Amino acid sequence: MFSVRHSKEFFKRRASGIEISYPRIPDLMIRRVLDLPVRHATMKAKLITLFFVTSLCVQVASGQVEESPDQKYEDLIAEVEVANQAWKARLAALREAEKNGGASIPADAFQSPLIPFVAKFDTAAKTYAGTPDAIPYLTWLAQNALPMVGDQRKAAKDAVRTLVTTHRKSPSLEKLEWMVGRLDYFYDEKQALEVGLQLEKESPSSKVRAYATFSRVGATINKAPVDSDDFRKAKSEILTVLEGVEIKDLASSVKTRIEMRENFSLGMSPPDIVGVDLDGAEFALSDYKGKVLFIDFWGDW
Amino acid sequence: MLYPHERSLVDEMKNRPFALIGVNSDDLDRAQAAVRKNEINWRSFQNKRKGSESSISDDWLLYTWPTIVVLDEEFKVRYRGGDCDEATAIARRLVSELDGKPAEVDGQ
Repeated sequence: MFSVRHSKEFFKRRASGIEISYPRIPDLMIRRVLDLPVRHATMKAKLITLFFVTSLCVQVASGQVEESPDQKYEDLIAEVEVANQAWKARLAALREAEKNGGASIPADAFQSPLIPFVAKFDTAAKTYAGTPDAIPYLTWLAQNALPMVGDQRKAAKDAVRTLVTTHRKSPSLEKLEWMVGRLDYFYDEKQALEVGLQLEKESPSSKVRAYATFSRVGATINKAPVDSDDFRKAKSEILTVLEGVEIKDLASSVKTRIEMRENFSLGMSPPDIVGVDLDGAEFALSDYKGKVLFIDFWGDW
Repeated sequence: MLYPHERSLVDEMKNRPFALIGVNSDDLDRAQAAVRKNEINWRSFQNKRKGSESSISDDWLLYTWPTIVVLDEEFKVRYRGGDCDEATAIARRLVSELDGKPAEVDGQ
């Protein structure tokens, strides 16, 4: 609650020339309130609070009071949501009109409503560069602008690079998911390796570390001969890392990839097929062992 | 369409150590109609198994259709992919190595 004593402090500070960081209340109004008799102390306090709140609102609205970074981010996200809803509503109306024999939907109607926001998030990220306040803006860019083209795509890639280096110790990097697992998409081979190793070493998040390990060993899993030491080492490393974390998509994709490479590489034996033919008779592929088998996975398309 | 090529491959490899086996992804009625219509002369598995959640293509980690896999007589993968001509050439060579008869070449 705003008190009379506080307002005296206010005058004292103003008289001494100290910068006043909270809203100023017009002198005349304050004096009138202060002149009220003591028996009206509660009313005094209420009135001063009212002045204070009103004054604060006016100053926020006129841009005299700086919003906090969090508030700025929330406001921007709210703006994005409004634009998104408007875009969806417009598209739905155009679709309906087209269905009822109206004009075809213009190409620009499909353009993402997020495009104009990329520059705003990018500017905010630069305003708070190097501080944790930049992280939400950078994360938004990484999550939303990567599928775009030109400057927007570049902003997204730059945002990912900033996050995985400057903010490598932030747990927020978990939100980047596959991006940390594919650092080669953002860097050349040597840089991707360096950045990944640093994340493996310094990130407090086991998920981020697992993605970074995948980024480092993924190419070996995909390309090295399955009977090579490199492949065996990479497989053991990534499976060990994935045992300790809950990343279902990455775990199943890595296991499938390893299984596929081990069972279906040239020279490997795939599992037998036991099933029924198109007349319902059971048979097995291994019934034909000893012959060259030409197996066609087909459909009548 | 691979049917004519595969039909002639089956005929060409008659009485040789070779088998063409299909794995069909259609529902049964459609598959049987396709067999009749296209005079398909090789045996096919039904990809989806009754009472089983996984299909043959799931077990073989196969996500692209059509795909051809060539196995040698020891059941080892010698080809996996979508190029019918390459798969055929490899199969012919393997059969030839196995029975000592020269491999045929398309167009001759």
